[in-house]
Amino acid sequence: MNWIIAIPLLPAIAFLLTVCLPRSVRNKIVMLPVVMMIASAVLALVGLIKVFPGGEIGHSIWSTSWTLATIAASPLKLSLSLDPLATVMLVMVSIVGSCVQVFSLFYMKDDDRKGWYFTVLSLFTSAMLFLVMGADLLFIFAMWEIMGLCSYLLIGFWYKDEAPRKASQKAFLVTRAADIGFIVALAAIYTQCGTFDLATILSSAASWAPSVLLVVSLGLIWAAMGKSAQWPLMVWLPDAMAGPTPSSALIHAATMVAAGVFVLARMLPVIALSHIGLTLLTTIGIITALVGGFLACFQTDIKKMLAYSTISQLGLMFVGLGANAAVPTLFHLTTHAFFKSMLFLAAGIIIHATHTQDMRKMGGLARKMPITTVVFSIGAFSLAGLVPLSGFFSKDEIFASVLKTGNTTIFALGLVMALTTALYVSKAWFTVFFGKPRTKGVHEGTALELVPVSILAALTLVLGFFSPAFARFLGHEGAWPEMGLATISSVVTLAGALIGFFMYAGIIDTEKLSHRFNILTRAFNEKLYFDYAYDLIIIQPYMKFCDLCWKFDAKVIDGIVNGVSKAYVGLSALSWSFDGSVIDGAVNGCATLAKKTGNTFKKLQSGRVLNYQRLMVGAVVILLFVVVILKGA
Amino acid sequence: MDIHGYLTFLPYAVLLVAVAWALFAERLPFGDKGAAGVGALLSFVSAVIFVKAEIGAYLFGGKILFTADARFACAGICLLTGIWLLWTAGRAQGRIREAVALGLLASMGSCLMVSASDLIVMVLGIELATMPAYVLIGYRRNRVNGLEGAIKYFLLSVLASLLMIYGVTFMYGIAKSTSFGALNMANAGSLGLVAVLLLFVGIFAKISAAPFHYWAPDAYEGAESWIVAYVSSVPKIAGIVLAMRLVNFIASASKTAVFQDTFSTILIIAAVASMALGSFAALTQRNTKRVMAYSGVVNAGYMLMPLVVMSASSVASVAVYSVFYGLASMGLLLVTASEGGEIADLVGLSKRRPAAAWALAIFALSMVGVPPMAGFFGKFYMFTSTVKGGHTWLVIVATIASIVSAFYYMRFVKAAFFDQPAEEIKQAEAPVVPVEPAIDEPVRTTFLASTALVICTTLVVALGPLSGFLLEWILNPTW
Repeated sequence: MNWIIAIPLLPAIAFLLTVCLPRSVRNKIVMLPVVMMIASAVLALVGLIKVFPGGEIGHSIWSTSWTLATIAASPLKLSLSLDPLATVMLVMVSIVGSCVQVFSLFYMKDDDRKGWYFTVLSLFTSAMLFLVMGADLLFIFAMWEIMGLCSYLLIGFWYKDEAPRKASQKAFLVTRAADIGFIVALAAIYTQCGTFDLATILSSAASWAPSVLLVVSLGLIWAAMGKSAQWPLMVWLPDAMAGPTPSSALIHAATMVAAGVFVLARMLPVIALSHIGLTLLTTIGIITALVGGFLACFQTDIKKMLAYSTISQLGLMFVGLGANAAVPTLFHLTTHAFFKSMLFLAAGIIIHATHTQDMRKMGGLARKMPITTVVFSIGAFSLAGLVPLSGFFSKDEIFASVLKTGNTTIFALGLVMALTTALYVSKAWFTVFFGKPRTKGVHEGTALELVPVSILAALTLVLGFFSPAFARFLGHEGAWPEMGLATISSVVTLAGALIGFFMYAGIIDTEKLSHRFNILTRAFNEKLYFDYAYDLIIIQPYMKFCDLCWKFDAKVIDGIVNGVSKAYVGLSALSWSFDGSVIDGAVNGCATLAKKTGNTFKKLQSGRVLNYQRLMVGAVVILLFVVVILKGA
Repeated sequence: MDIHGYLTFLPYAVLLVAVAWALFAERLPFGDKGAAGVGALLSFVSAVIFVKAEIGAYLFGGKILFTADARFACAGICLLTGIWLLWTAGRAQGRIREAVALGLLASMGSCLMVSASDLIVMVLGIELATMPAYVLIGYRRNRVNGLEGAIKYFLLSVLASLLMIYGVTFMYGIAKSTSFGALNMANAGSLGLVAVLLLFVGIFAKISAAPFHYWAPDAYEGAESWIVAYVSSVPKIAGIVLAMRLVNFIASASKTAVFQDTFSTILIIAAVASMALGSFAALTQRNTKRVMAYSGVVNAGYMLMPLVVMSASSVASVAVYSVFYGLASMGLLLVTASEGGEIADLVGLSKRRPAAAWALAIFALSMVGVPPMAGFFGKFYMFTSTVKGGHTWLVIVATIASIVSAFYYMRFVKAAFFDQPAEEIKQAEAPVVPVEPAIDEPVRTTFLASTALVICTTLVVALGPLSGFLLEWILNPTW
């Protein structure tokens, strides 16, 4: 089974091959990462067949390990293992990754840095693939960090505009602040286990000191809250829309936000040992689900709406984790990955066609873009939780597990979230696809865009029926949703959809309502003042402190430096004039010098040194690769 | 430290005196040329003291280990510096006192490099040997090519140093000591190999071994030929002997088979890449200095090859060959320094300066490896020790590289002896690259420059048959 390693390695190789090349060459070989990614997806599917019929989570079917270094007699290991959970995740991530890359071929074709885009995309997917296979928490953390970097690069891809630049910094800083929790958890784990091996950690967790258990749980939850955009750290995700749309599909579905939920699901046996951990997960989750859901109702930008919907769905996943129900959560993670990435890609087609992201300027697209309409509808209905689409099954499973814990309050709040979901989905759906066309020259997307979207749509259509099979694959009892529960949630969904239609059709006068609840509306439009609060509490004091440092620097330190340099310049000028008049004494000499210096500058900017350095670093990377992977013991 | 210990350090003091002389040259008799002459004389004196110095002792609390190979390399470095300064005294034009001082400082650094037995002293030596070379490359501030070359050299060299020092910090972290004797990297898993790799990346860049040679052609092309004569020979001897000492120390401290195999693999990759790249890339070059840069790459490849074997005799042969290579490379460039930067400029040399033309032919033949020149013997010992170590296929690669590179060495000889000056053809084919600024004074054969070339030629012819003795001198320190 050693070929399994090729699944994460193929995109990694694509990254390594392209990263060293100059831009012009990289732009010409964008097919290389795409082909590597598709090959990886095919291998993942073969792996799924091989692993069938699955088994317990954590039951390793294939594993490998390299010792990278031995520090103070404890080995630093890079270990991978394939269990049923990793298999499912590999399939999900590689399929979504392939669809996104194929889609991007058309979407990004005119960008002059598209080679770089595909390079980062490869690294991003590869890191996620490595993360799901990681059997060592330190290694998982390394991959976690690489993903943070990649999301920074992708969100800030169009770095020449201000919004993407700021959004990328925001995303990076917020997730970094959360990552501190991961580091604290790692340190705490090391004090108890002396190793980062996942199996050892999970088996020995029951014997840890309660305080350590708490620190580890809180640290990991904090880290995942940043990565998976939970309240109150969710502020980065809506801004992340500034990046290219296909990359948003990847961040929102398969990689970045999924990583947080995935790591928590992996470590759930540890967190479940402390009651506080589970309660915290539930609380955070339900708040996030409701905040996300309400804010989504107020969005007019189609991508922003999808972003808040992602936050809300991630909140639901946290609720599932809080109910100690890893399998339903992971099932929802998978179905959500497929339909949310598909929604983003479809939104990309729509944006391409209408040249706007504002839903109020769209309308009547159903006639002009029939295929896009069909696939978007599948995704939207699945998101709303309509029978028999996959979203319905996975959401109901989470609701069922919440009910099993006996926490009816959370269940009721969950239904409210389902109501809001159906509401904003139906409102958006009617607005975009029906009514009067408001833009001219709308056209259907190309085959290169529609094929990946259709694949994802097909998966969304059928995946729901595999709900018990999914649970069995992960070694759990699978069951179909209970009739009573299904009826309740369906009724709620339909009610939400109906309200949405009323709002669209003007039967409910939104204008009047918003005037009546003026404060509430303003609060929602201002994203519940989260950004404002962060600005007031953290950013402004920080800036003031920076300003103070800068003033000190400018007055005291620069003063000294400038004084010295002025004196030096004076001395140099003196010696130069001596040199020039006594030794050379030639004016035409100066003229030629000036001319030649000009030519020099022209030459210096040929950028060749950069190429040399790139080649040198590339050679080092390849040699490191040779040394560590091929020969390292 | 007894009197012999101080004797080991006397040459450094002597070189420092020469540096001081050069820095105050305008106030001292005979000006710049006097400084170069004094530098040459003192360099030869240092070489003699190095030959007489006692070996095997740790000095300065174990920071320096003056072994037989270090003694040989130091003597060679001082000898080559002397020859270069002698030529400089006779031929170089304009203001040269800083070049003399910088050259002497670089030689001091080189001597420190090859006798270091401590990572910190090693880094210090490497930087002392390299820093002056940046300035030397861009020595004439009105030559744009030189400045460009210097900046490129500087930027790439800094990157290499960065990687190397990164490796050094890892090594210190693993071994808990900076002493060469304690560099046991075998028990640290892959990290030990990564550290060694990074260290050697720096050293590969210093000896311009592929794939870290990118600075060499550009830097050499920009500089003046007489500067290249120095930069391409002396620091390279120091670099390769340091590499050899490191391989010895690391391999004997880290004894596991996996480690040594992987270490060899790194060296093999660099050696094969250098030989393949250097030999073919030089074929189409028209500029003498570019050709010599690629020749340096090929020769770095040859010299890395015996290190793969890691046996005593194989590394001794490398030390001997490095000096032979330095002599031939310096001689060839010093001859062309009076002519011009392009190979085409050598046309008619046999008519203008027959003696210089013959010297050029001897240096080129030594580079190719034709008996009885020194280059042949050096290569012979290196190749046989590699075959004995069981790496026959490497020698086959090296032989092919030798044959390919023979072609471009022979172009020097062809241009000097057989090509007819054809003005109209030359004009039509003239490359767009800016030619060197015309040398103001007409070429005059001076006594000192001729002496330098005579010494160089004599050594290239005579040392070959004596290389057996030289090997013995390195391998059996009691002799």
